[in-house]
Amino acid sequence: MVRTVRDERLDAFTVFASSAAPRLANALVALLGVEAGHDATWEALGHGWENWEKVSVMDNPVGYLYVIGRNSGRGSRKQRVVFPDPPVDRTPWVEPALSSVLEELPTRQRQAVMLVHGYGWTLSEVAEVLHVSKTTVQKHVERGVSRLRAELGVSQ
Amino acid sequence: MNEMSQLKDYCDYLVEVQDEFDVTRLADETMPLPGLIRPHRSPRRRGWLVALSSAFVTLVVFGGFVLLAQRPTPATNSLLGDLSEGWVEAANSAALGLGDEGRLFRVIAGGPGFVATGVACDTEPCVSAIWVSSDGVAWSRVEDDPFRDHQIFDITARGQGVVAVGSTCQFGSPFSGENVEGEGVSCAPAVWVSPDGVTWTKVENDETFGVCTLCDAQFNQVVDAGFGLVATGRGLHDGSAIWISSDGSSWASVDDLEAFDGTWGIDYLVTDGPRVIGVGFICDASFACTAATWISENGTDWTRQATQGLGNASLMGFDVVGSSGVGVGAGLPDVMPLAWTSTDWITWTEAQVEEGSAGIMLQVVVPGGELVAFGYEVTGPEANVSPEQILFEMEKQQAIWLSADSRTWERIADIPGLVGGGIIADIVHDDGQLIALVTNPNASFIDANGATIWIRPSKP
Repeated sequence: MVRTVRDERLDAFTVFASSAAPRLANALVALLGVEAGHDATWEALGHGWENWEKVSVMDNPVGYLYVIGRNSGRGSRKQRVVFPDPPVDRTPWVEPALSSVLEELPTRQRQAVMLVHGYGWTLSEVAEVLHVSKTTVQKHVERGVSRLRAELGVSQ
Repeated sequence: MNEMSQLKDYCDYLVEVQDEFDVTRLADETMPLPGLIRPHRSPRRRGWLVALSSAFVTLVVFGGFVLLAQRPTPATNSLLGDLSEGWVEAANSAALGLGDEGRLFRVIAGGPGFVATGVACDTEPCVSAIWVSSDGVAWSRVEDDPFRDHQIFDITARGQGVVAVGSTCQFGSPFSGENVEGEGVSCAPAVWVSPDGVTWTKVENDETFGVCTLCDAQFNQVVDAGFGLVATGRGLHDGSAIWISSDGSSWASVDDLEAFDGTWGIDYLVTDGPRVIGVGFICDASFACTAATWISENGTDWTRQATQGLGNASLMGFDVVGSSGVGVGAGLPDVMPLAWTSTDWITWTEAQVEEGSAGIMLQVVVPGGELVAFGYEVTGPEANVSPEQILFEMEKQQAIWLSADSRTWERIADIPGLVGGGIIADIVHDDGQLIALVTNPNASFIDANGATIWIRPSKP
């Protein structure tokens, strides 16, 4: 079968998306909640596909697509950020209130805490995708952890 | 298991049940045509299985093809849509006589319609000036003489009239840059009154406010509370000062009251109708300062309480929403836009502000049911940038935030060219009409670059 330019393009984009999509989803779910975050991830990936020629040569394509996804999620931001309850049968050791505590965290703190401590990102990775400084990320992580612990009823 | 381990497990679970992003679907041209409407989703939390099913249906039926198609109109509130339309440039620097370095910083509804104040630099030295307009479109500058060699810092409407406060300076213009210590300018508080915003008279202040040499006293702010006028600033004794007046012409100092003991300062005055509220700080003998709130219903009886919840933040603007206060500004030291609400002006709760770049919310208005905050963001902050660098050195761009409930703020999408792309220094709304004083682009924090007045008329 003859491979077309389109095939080549799709192959390249698929390789990119295989690593980019989960990271985008992590960041946008932490920002917008599960449903809205997934929707925003699709929006971002769609934009990336449409504009692959431009996106493929960027220094920080994931950071760029994060902004696309974030902006597309603004319409859904009128609604509460929603995280599902931890499933009791799957993770009985997870505090049931964790999901609601995450929902109530200030956005920046929630994002920083989830990405660093939940998804295992480094401060540099978070800073690059969210377009902020490492110092800022660290500050949001510290505050978010402190608040998370306080809300879950653990003394410092 | 500690909290972070729980969080990690929870996030692992979220990844586990996350749909795979099969991006090949983006290239499948056999997917449904544009215009399909996404299924409505309830915002309330549901069982995970229901949420998963809904997401699965969406992805299978519509998938990413909707992304390639004509996008469904995103949900926007009415004000968001309105903000992008209808703005008209009313007067630019040349028309206002601002000169290249002039600025506008305050606009109110009052006098013949609207009154604005700023600094005009079409002559040397610059002068404080006042402009008036009956409709927000056509503006005229009032006679400068009452203000020459003096400086206006704030204006407020008082019935049909207008009151301006600032400083009166001897031995030179306050804009000449001369050092107040030992030579040159000495400044005392000053007040001007006008029955209509057009004709102004300076209150003779020698007996009222005193005369000083080698001092830098001034009134920074004035508000018209239900019981009268309140002005705050710096007194002749170099400490903070607070004065009240029933008519703008006769003033009395109240800073000898117990509520004003010690070292204090009021950064912002606001009125909720019957009361005046001052938000500022008090300092102990070692000059450790904490936030404080002053409240008065009559100007002569004041309460002072420690303010809670503001942390290490800088407040820039206030408005009243119902019986609650809304404050906006920036957190320090990372200079991130922040907003707060309070039902008693003493205890403040930080609102959720959408993630963005470093910047400051300068002003908040409530033109109807929604809140709008104006300010700026700085682009591309580098690591370990100091607040001073952010404020003084980095390039600023206009930023606007919206809130439906004062508790959650979203940074609205950039509206290219809105009010010329400049930063909104002050904004007032009157019967649905918005008047904005916009600092021209490329101005620095210190050096002005002229300004433009923009108007968005109310809907017919």
